Amino acid sequence: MIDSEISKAISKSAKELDQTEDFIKKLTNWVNEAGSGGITIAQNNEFLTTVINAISLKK
Amino acid sequence: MKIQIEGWDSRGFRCPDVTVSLLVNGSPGKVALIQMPNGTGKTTTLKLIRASLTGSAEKWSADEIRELRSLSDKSISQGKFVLRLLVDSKKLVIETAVNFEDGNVRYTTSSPLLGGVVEGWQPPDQIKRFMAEKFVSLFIFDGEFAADLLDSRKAKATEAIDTLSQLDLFDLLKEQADARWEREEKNASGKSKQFLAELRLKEGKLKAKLANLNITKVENTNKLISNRDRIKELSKSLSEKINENELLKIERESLLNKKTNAEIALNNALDSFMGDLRYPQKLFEGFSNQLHDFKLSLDNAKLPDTSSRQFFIDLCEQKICVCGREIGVTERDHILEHAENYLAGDVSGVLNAIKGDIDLYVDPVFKTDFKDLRDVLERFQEQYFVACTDFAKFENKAAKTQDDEYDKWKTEQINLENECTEINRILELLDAPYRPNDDEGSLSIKSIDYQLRDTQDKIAKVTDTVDLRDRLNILRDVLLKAKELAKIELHNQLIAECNHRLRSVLSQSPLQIEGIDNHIRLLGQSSGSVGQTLAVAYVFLTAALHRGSHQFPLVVDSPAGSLEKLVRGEIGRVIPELCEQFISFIIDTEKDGFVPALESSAKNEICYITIFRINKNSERLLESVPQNLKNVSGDSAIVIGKEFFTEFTLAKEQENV
Repeated sequence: MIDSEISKAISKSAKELDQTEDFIKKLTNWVNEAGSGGITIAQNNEFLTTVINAISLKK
Repeated sequence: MKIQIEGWDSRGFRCPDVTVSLLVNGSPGKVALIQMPNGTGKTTTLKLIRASLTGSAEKWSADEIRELRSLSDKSISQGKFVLRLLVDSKKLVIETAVNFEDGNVRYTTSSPLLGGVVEGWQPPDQIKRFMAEKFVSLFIFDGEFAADLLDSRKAKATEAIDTLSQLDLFDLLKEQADARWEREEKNASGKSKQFLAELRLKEGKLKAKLANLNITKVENTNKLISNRDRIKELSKSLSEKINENELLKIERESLLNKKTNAEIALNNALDSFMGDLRYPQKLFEGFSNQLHDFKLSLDNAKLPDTSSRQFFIDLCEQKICVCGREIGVTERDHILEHAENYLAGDVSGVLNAIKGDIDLYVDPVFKTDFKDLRDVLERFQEQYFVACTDFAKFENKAAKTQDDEYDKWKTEQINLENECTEINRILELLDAPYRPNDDEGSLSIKSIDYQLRDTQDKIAKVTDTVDLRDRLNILRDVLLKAKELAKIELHNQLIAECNHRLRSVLSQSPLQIEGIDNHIRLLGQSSGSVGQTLAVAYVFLTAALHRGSHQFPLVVDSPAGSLEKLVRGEIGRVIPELCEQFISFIIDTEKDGFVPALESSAKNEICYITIFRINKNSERLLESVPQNLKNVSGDSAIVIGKEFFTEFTLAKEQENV
């Protein structure tokens, strides 16, 4: 698991940029997986796609 | 993730041919003490351990490899070092085979995680990230690295936090996002190919420029911090030299006080002046008079308190006008058309507010004048200038009574101050805000970043990737902000934790960390003694290692050499609590104070090893050791056990001759 301060910072900065809890969950999940080491390039791309799709754009 | 070292085999190198096992009751002990007298090959062993963990031997030159050849047998052509690790309790073995003749290195890696033996340096993916050189140097470190943590010219402390807390993950993810954008926009086609090609060329140039400017900023900021620290040191040394003469000391203190007081007075006057500038009507009589005239003309215009336009609009709703005549279609249209000539509610409100403010803030009789304030400020400026000149004159006079060393320091100080001025100028350019007329030649990071984003927006529009671009921009912003937030919080927590520990570790010579900006900044002093530096480094690294969710062995060469006995005890007690495995290469003179403290904290989980060269002196020492505790190979021996470890000293070797 990544340092708890990293999770808190992700949550805080995402909220400041009007992002949803779903986005925060998905981004934290990606950071956690990347932090544990050993995820492949393909897996990284999958995580990135999931995170991109969870981003909410201000209209 | 938990990485532990089980042991190693070494054959054919400058270090003894030995098999070292760090196991206690079948698993790696909490503490391993490896006693090796100077000249036994400690440095070579550490180099080989580091190379096994990082794969760095592949970068060694042929000469570097030949220098590692066994000294006792020059005919030996090959060397082999096998490092045995445990990764989350699974075995990982890395073999480094070198050919001294042709200067080649060949790695072999084996682990159930890899499905067996593979050629090359191929640790499993899940630990590769932690085997980068910058990561490994954090847990296999020496006194030099400890000093680097406190050196303002190096950014080792920040690097250590970034690495151990995995703050660099944010950069990794940002790189992924950038790569996605590059891939998508490269594959997308635009309506105008030539225009798109031009935009992409511009994007590439701006990216490269932004990267260069960021590097320049980091380099200059580090240089500035380091120069300022050195200037402080030099100022201290210079004043100490002058203070050796009592008369000069008194005169210096008096002039310095005058200078400091003049500076404070000038700053106060400046603050007050800046405050007055916010009220130009108080400074300029003409401005004050014009505001009065404006207010009078508004009074003459007799502005209604409420909206007058609305009155006419409402009137049109009535059948009979206020004058008693009937309002027909023609009259209604006429009134509505001309209602536009009257003030609306918002405009009338603003004008009434201006009138009110003029009454409130502009005195009917003008009292101060800009010239008076400027004169006051100039007087304080003059006083400060005189105080500075007097101090400079004194320094020149005092310098004439000093030796060459003083002149050398003074010259260095002046050069560094000039350098700082130049660096500040560069940093100002780099930090300048974006201006609309800026082009690619700008040195402002904000400006180049703005131009890059603008160019990428244009590419996104041309290639229909606006949605992806917007999303990636948000992701990048979240990552950048999160990294900054996490960094600040981690720094603060680490400083608090380290200071708490330092209060007990250095109870006899208290030392506190003030901040971490690239390097560890000490409170009230620019550096500590060698022992203090090592103690701060231990406390900092163990605290940082302890914070992370991963566990690594802490391998230290000469752990207590420069520490005072009391500090050795405190450090020795703390280390086993802060790391899972502590491996220490130690010499006999370091044991006093350090080893008993380690023993008290690590209980029975200590592995004692003594490795030494066999000579006439040490042969006798070996005779008394039971066969099952010793292993002799060529000119060296390894002995396991606390008794021999404790008894073994160079002095004893001599006594036995």
